[in-house]
Amino acid sequence: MTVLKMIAPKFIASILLAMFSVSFTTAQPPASREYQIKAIFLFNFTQFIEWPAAAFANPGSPLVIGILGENPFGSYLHDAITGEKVNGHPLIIQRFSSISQIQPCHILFINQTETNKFGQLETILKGQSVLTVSDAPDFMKRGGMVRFFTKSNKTQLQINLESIKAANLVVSSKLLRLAEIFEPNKK
Amino acid sequence: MLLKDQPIRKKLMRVIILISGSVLLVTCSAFFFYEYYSFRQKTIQTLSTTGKIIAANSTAALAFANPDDAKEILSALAAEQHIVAASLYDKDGKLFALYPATSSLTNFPAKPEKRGYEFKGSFIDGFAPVIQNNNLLGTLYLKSDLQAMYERFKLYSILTIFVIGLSFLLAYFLSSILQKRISEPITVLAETAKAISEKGDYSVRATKLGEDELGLLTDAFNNMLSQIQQQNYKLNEFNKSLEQKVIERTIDLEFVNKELIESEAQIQSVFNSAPDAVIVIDSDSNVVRWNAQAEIIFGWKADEIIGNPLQNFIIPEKYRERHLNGMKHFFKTGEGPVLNKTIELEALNKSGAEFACALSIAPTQLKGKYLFIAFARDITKSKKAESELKQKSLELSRSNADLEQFAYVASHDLQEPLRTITSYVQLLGKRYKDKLDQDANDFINFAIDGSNRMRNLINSLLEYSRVNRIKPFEHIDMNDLLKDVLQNLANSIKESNANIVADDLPTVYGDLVLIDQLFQNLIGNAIKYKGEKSPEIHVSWKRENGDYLFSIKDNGIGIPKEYSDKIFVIFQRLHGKDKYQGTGIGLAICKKIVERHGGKIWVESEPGKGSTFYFTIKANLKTTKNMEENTKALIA
Repeated sequence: MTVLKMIAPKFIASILLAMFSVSFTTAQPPASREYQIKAIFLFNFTQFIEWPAAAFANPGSPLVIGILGENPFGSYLHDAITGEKVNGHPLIIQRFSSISQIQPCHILFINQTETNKFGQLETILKGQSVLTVSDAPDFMKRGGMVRFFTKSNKTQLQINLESIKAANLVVSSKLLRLAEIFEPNKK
Repeated sequence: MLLKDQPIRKKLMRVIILISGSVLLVTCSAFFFYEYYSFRQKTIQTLSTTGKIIAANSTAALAFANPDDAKEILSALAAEQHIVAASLYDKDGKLFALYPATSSLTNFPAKPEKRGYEFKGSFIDGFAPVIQNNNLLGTLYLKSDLQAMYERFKLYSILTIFVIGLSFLLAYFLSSILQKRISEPITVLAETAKAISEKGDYSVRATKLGEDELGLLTDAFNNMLSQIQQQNYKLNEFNKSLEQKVIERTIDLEFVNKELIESEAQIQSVFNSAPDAVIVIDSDSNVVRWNAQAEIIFGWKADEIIGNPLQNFIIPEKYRERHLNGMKHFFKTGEGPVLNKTIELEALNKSGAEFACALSIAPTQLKGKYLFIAFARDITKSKKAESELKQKSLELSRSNADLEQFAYVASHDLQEPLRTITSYVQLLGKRYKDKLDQDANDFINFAIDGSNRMRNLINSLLEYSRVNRIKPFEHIDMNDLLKDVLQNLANSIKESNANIVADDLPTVYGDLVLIDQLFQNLIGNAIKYKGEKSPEIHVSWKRENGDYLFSIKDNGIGIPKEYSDKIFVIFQRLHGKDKYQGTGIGLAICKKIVERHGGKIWVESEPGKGSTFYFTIKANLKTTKNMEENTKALIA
């Protein structure tokens, strides 16, 4: 909540006042601000995406957000999910420094630095309902599910519907309205 | 034109239309108000539903900070033309997206307020939360105008007017057909009645159209007409007889009037020829009638005084108030001390001079109002004569008294020298009788005789003059008195062998000594003037005109008729001294005594057969209170 409150001025600024927006962006380190929004988005994915019941050991087991590689969110993600529950599942964060360390999770954010290992990852995660998220430019081409990208100074989403379906995940049409659908066959 | 003056036909129609109209109006109003409230509810519901849809759709846009998408979602509201404004606020209450996108910021609330929708003036607006999986993502604001409602109301209004108009038409149409069933018989009846009243033809009958109340009314009306016809006939008959009676009465009345006029003329002539002034005043003291004599006595003409207050003309100022008070007193009590008697007072004539007037006033009533009739007479002359008479009689009584006083004094003073003469002549007779010659004896005897007679004369004179000496009267039993008298006369009765008979006599009121003397003189005379037979004397009495009439009858020598008055005059004698002794004063004294008692004395006689002396004594003397005055009056 507090996070949302903090990022709110950013939204208003970006929509309504360009000048204000500029001064705001220059006031904080770019990474921080960008990842603050991305942290919120990560949390919001839990609201618009449905995991199959099999993805959870029991109705009370946590929904795990994993971070592969370095954590770019600082404390933002932690702040965003603390105390939140999705359909009775508490949210927790797990960090994996390497692919080998990866444990079962529901959302996996892959740091840009780790994208070269994506080929291995695909095979590890195959058959598992894990939403893979990254802001790496070639993430979608490498079979990623959701990618953050910046367009006209705003953080936007790219979604690979096929891979999501393959992971047995259901994306809310509302989310799809906002996202750019990646169709690998077209490219 | 007022409703009450309208024909029944119109009244009925108006009533029907008015009732149906008001029922419709009430129904429509109820419907209208129901619609108004339900539509408001519905509007809120619709708006809230729309809000929920928009909010549900906006969750992702808010969650992933995509205002463009939010705008796009909001722009879908364009399909709902009554939604004039909408906006989204993020979790922190900051404006996130607007609809219409071009609207000025001032059209939107700066931040979200209380949830829910409500009416504000001609708009309805409110806030709805944007929630995804129980997570509040932001707030939606919606504002709708009420155009829809107004449009609907417009439609309803047109519909209502149309329905009411149609209903009126229907009501008019139906009532104009139905009213005939009620109003037609009434109209027919009314027209019949009107025709009858205009033409006065009571033989017409109204046509009956049914057996309802109007049918009954028609029957009753026709029945009434029959009765009127009958009554009219009777009335005509009655009128005819009345006219006859009026003619008869008029003739009678004319006759009576003529008589009345004649009688009035008679009254007027009686009134004017009355020897006294006749004045009639009304209860306000205004003059009503004033006859010719009144004009003469008071100097005022009738037309000068009639209608004016009497007191201002003929009553001296000193009496005016008393006059008015007297009238007031009469109206209050019915008493008037001056009414129905003759009073004497002063009156005023036209020149303002007061004169003596004898007045008698009688009240009378005419048509319930009091009138006063006054008879007045100028008594100036008789007053004057009366006062002259009084003066004369006063003078007379004074000279009479003087004379009596003179007689008394003279006789009393004469006695003294007479006594001297008598005693010396007697002494001369005693001493020188038969010592001188026979002539001297005769002379002495003549002198003695003469002086005796003179003494008798003087005594009689004294008695006569004493009669009018005032002494109180008393009750006298005449029987006792007569006994006393006969006792005094016992010697002469014995000598003359007289027989005196007396009735049982009454008690009178008078001077005892004088009455005694009266009887003694009269009975004495009856014995003294006896004839050849011994005297037979009868004393009797009776009441006559309220007085006592006494009579003393004898069988003596009688008195010739020509002397019957003369004998009562002092010093008048019928006979020589040789035959009957006496002074000639006795009967004069009797007369004076009788007069002293208010009576008269006279004689009825036939010479040689006897005389009857009559005298009266006033019986009512004793009832008069003031004896002195009586006496004085008698003397006068």
